[in-house]
Amino acid sequence: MTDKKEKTKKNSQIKEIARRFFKSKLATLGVILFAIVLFFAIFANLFGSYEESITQNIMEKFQTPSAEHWFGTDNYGRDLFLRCIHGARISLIISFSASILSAVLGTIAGMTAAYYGGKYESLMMRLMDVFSAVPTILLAICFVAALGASSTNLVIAMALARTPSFTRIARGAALTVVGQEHIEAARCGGTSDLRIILRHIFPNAMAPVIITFTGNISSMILQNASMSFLGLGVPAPAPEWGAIISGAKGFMRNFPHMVWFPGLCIIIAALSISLIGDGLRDALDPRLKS
Amino acid sequence: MERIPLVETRHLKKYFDVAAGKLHAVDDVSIQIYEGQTLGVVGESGCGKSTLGRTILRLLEATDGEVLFEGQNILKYNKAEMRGMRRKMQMIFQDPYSSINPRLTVEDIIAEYMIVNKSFGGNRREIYQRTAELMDIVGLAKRLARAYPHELDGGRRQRIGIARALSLSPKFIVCDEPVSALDVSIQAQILNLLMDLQKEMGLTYMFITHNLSVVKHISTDIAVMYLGQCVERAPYQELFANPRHPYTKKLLSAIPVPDLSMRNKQIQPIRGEVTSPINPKPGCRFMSRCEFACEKCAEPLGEPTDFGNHHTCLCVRCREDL
Amino acid sequence: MSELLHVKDLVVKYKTDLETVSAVNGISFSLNKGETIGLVGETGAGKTTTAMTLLRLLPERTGKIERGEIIFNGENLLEADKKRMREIRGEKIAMIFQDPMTALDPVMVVGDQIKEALVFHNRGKLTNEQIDARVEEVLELVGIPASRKNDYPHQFSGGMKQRVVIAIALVCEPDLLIADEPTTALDVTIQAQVLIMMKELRDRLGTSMIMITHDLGIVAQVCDKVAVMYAGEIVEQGTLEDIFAGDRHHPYTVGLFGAIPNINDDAERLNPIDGLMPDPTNLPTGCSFSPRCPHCTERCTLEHPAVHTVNGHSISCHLFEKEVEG
Repeated sequence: MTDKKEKTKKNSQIKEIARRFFKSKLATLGVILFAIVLFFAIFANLFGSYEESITQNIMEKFQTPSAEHWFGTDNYGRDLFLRCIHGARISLIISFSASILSAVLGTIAGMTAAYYGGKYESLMMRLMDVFSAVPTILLAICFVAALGASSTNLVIAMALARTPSFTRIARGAALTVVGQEHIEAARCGGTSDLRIILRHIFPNAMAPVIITFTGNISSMILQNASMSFLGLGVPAPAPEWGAIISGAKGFMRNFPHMVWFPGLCIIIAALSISLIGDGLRDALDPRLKS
Repeated sequence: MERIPLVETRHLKKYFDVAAGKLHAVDDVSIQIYEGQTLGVVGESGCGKSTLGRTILRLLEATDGEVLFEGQNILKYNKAEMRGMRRKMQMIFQDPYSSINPRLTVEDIIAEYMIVNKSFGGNRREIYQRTAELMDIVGLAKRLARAYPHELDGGRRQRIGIARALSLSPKFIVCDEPVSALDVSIQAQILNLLMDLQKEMGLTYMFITHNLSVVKHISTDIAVMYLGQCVERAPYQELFANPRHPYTKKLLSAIPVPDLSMRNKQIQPIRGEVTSPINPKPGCRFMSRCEFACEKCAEPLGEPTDFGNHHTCLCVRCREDL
Repeated sequence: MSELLHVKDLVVKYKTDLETVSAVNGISFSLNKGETIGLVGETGAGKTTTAMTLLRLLPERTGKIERGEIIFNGENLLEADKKRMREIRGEKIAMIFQDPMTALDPVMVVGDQIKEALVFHNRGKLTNEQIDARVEEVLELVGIPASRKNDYPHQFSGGMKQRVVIAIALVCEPDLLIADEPTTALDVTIQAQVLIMMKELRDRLGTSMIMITHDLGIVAQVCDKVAVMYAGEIVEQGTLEDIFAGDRHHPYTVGLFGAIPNINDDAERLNPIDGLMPDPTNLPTGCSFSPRCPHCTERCTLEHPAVHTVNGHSISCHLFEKEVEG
């Protein structure tokens, strides 16, 4: 019985956040848009295999949108719709993994800095200052230039470039928790530092990290596209949105559909996640509780 | 009969480095707390009473001096020895809102210390059984075991804090303003609970508060602190009947009493405000506010004057009839 | 003595889309010129809401005044428009807030903060020199050297900040001063200084005062009349003597006195009131104190008690019904 009770209580907390979230029309729109993007990314193979999306078919090149090719075809005759939805996969996987990696690194760095303080904190934060002094894209370019262009390197490069902002946010959030008496109480009971950070600081300081995480994904999508556009991202012939636009830029004047559709994909994906991020922030922020 | 105190500090000092110099939060404090008794520590904000409690528990590292627990200087203990020590001395915190982790359920909060210290050989079932017992002892209903702190009021949260402090069966508990954040009717419930627990378990308390009425109610001995120093110390009846230090006298007269006699009582408040504890001059720290100050007061303070019967006072003129 | 303020049957609720909090449930009290009334009660009793309602400073979206009248100098404040309320606030009714650390603007020198109300309510009557002179005068009045008017709030200690807050409240010589726990954030010795000063100033300027506090000791020191609040109602009110002496009391008042450790007596145990404050979103039917009351009868749980008054000492409890009739 008590189990049931606990569940309802936990649920009611989540329900309350969900209620506030869906009160916002824009956030709901974000969820719907993102659900569409996600649907195509997950079920891309129902519309055509990955091989199909990279196989050249010169016979059908430069076709405008039609019932057969919804988004038309490109200069190699590849179906743009297929390329766009397979691109959604790549884009989402890369931007999510880069975001997760930077969030994890930043949270570890930020929370330990806040907890231990002193020289360790100064060292950590100055290191992050150095990272953030270099423009994000430049840092990523240097990294990829040094290690070569591959999806893994791209993910690492983008993640490292974003780590400082997560570190600062995690540190800030953790600092308010570290100052609370329950941390002192934990030390008073002989709790180890690791357990204090994992069990007492992290759960209480993660809300801002989650909010930044969501907000960050959309900029990761944009950055991922820019990098690929510059030829530093996923190598051809993989159907990455930025790469598709890059490949189409020579034919843009005569066949504008070749840039419109992948461009639209980038906009929809980035916008939907931004909207979700904003909605989440409002829903989690107790100051806006009415 | 000479008893050995359960907890004793000898010339304990805790200085903090601040931009302007050294902040003397606890300066040369020597107190004794005997088993089964309650030492009330009173003083205004910034007088170092909380720092004293935390330094004794080694939540803060002392700058100088000794803390003896059952005759052993625990400041010399290493990390592992200290972990064993932690079971014997615990703390109840001031703020019932920030002193418990809001993400854990009531029973997890109470069980946490036992899990960390591997009580009952780390057997979870026994630990949670003990948790249920503890909840019963402090008067928390069983149905609240799986509740989250935000569903509870301040009084119940403070009961969680007390159950947590009791979970390792300590001998000595530092209570840092445990009732000052609570409403009066709830405050009385918690004070009664603390007194009952002391009687049943033979606990020893150090009770830190700024509220003299509360301290009188719960303490056997009282130490009055002013700017990091213990200016007067006596059994509670003695302190209220014969305060010796000018500061204690003023403090006692400043308490608003819920009684009609307050109406026309002429209170002579202390002039001025607390001076800075950063790089204090030698000599009496209360001097600038004291109406009896003389040249002697500016000289470095010696040992406190002993009036016998555990009544000591840190004032050069306290033997005079002021 | 003429009546300055009369609050009649005031009901205030906070409404959100999820719940309705009944903060103030039909309170009535009056205050004469020069008198001080103490509103006593625990957290959630509706003390601060009452004060905010008097100034019409309830949060606009959620705070709703359902019923009642606030007659101040013959004018119903609940019918006054925004412009009129701005004129009244500061000039006629001023407020001292609980926390002096946050009540002052940290980037403005205190002299200018005191000056603000004076300039706003001036309407061309005073010259700049007169305003400056008044600022200095009021600073001296609260015991701060006038030379410190160009200091920023962080240069003052807590007690001094509260003096500045009091100076701001007094600068327009208001008819009514509302003090919301003015000394809760201060130390005992500083509290004594501030209370003595407030008492002196009140007597000298003839200001009426509403003292909101949970400390019965402060009430005994400062107030002429007392209203004990519980769950948004005044359960007992009368003169200081009525409340602090005599043996006719509301059970809650008795409980409140029993629960505080008294420095003058040597009781071994305190007598706390069992249970908790009722949930303001779901008040019990009948008397709201009934679940905690030692004298609770079946009637108390069903029927809301009427106010029974003897010689101006009124108690809202079924126990005292017979007395009034007889």
